[in-house]
Amino acid sequence: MGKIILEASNLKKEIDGNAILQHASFKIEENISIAIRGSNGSGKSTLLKLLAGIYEPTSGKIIRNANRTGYVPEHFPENLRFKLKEYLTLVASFQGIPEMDMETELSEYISLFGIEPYINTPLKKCSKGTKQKVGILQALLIKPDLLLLDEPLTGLDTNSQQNLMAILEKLKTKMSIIFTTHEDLLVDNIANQVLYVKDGCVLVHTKPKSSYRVIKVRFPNKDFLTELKLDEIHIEEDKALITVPIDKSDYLLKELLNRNCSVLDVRERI
Amino acid sequence: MQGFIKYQFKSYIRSFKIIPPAATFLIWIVVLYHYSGVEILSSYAVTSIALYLLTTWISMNIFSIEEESEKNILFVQVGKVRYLLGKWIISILIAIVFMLFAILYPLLLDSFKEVVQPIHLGLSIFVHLLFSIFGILVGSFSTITSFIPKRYTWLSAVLVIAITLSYDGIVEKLSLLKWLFIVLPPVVNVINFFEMDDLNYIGKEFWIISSFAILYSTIAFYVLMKLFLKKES
Repeated sequence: MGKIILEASNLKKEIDGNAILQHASFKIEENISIAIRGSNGSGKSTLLKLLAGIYEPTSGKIIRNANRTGYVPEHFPENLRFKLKEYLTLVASFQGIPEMDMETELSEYISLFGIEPYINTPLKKCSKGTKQKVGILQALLIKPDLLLLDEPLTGLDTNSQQNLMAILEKLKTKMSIIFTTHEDLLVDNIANQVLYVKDGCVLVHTKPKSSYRVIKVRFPNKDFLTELKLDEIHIEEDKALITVPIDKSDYLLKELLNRNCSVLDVRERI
Repeated sequence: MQGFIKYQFKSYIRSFKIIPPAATFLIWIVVLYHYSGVEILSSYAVTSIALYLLTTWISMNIFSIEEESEKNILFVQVGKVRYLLGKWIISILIAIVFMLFAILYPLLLDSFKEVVQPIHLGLSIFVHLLFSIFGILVGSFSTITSFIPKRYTWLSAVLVIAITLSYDGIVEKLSLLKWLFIVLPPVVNVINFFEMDDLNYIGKEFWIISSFAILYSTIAFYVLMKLFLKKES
């Protein structure tokens, strides 16, 4: 068992007299990625804010052992009065990192996130996707050992979602990641564990080994995809992301190739 | 902390919210010293009160400048205590700039009827700083505690300012309120010593009242911090 990075004991949180969470007890180990799931208004964001230290529990106890925590809100602030790079430089300076050291690191992140063309653009004028990336970057710049993200894929187009998932996949080997989400894709690709929030209670679920594969293809026309009767498919322009049971994946791949599709990626759903 | 103060300063200046209070204050000072040959201590008493109003206004702006998600990010990045201290520091730094203007402007214009001595300058710096702190306390109380609903923040600040400035008159009519008003900044208690414009009045009693004002401010900052942490929990 690894180091416990967060521990909650009989946690209860009330907001304006309403109990949002109660009897929540769980432990979170370091370097584990966790998805927090639940219906709208179930208390996912409240739980994430409790873990981040933005909220304190009404009763119960939470022990936060992370040295540095990064937090990415669901909606990046709309009215920041800074240019993109200026904002990130200021945020990095909160930790007292010398400007020269930080400049190198910042350039690497800016390149990794593909936001070089916007570094001198006022944040107010940046697109939702760029702001979301800046939201993640500000959290990464403080070199967190715990990264908390609230609905990170909300409002992003499929390409930006794919990019973001690729980034999170790289990051999950370096730090603990906890995120709230409604997206199966994100849970499948990133999470090792799932915390379900229902009626204010938190249930911990360790994910079993996947029995699904995710296939990414480029298709010449999408009419035939409906004939294949696929349960889980995301289409963006001429690309499709299909999730199928492992025992049916070979058959599907053969079908797709026979119909002149290009297979771009095949991976197991984690 | 330096980085956070820089962040706050840039964000506040670029919001242009400083323009109305700054313009009001500067006009006030210019009008006050339109005539030359005015008294030293009582003039500085008036500008201290102007600074009291200004810092209340500015600190309320500074505490309400962020939307919720930006505040949440800042809480995680710098912590709630440093967030609050940073806001107070930026408020006092801005107040110092206006204090320097209020003190130096009449000197440059040679507006006073007497020659200004170091004791006048020392007292003026003290009273301006003290009233800036009072302003920050009133502005903070109205915006960062959970006592006042958001829509009544300005009303409550104006009410506290009005009571603190008309303390003598209210207490004369309703003496029992004296004990209730002990929770408010002792504005009149300090300013009364300056109205006579006579250094002879600045004696032991003045320093006792001033010591009380400093003690009051220290306790008030501590209490406000506790109330802020409670509200933001």
